[in-house]
Amino acid sequence: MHKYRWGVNPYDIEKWINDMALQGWHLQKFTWTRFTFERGEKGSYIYRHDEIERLAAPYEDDYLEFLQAAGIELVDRSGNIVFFRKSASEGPFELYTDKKTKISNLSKKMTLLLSLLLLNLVFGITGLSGDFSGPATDWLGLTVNIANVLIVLLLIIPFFRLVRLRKQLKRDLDVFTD
Amino acid sequence: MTQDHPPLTEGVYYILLALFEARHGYGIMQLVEEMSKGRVRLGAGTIYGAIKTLLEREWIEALDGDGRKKEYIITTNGKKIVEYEILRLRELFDNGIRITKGDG
Repeated sequence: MHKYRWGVNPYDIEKWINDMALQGWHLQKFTWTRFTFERGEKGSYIYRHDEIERLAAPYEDDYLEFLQAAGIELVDRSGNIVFFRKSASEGPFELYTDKKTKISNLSKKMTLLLSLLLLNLVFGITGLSGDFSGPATDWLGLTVNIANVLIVLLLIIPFFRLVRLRKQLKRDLDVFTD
Repeated sequence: MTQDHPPLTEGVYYILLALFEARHGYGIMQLVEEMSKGRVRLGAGTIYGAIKTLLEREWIEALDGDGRKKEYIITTNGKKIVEYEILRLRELFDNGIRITKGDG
């Protein structure tokens, strides 16, 4: 079964994939927007995502062997996002149990989103004002610039959810150790 | 942090303790869970990240084994760090007991 979803916030996607697993649909492969599931036992696996810093960087063999020894399977990778899973019968499963790694992953994601947001905003706004300045309306330019503004609107909510998540983690760190 | 020996995170403290004997990543994970009676369950990504940082600081080192899995062991520097941490924990513990239970 294929499902389409706008994959901006990996934590939301992870939650959704785990909800699907509870209903017996297990992630098989994915791209940024397209997710393929196969039928399986309900709730038999827990899924977690990981983000690799550089887009093309492979995992180190040591790390993959370590994960395998811990009963963790690599499901699929798309860009710098990777999904792993572990049998739910072996108890709770988290890849990162420290808040600092979570915070730094969130910060990287936020920087990327913010630059995309600002870029589209600037192109959209300056473009739109240019589209109407000539004697005839530039329809192609108008379409592109409206798309710019739409992208801004699509990214803004996921961005603020990440901001909120990071703030919460930082507040915990003020009181509790990692 | 202005202290000479800032507090270690619980994870790093336990990883260092686990490496008083040579172990691989999964071995660390199991021992820490066992030592803490299941309270501290470190994620694989967290352990791997910590191993890299500890190698850079030379608090632990990788053993050249012929086995498939890489094993690590604590260094003399690492042992010193653990000793300082134990002193710090003792200070916290002693002050806590003294204040909550009188001079106990």
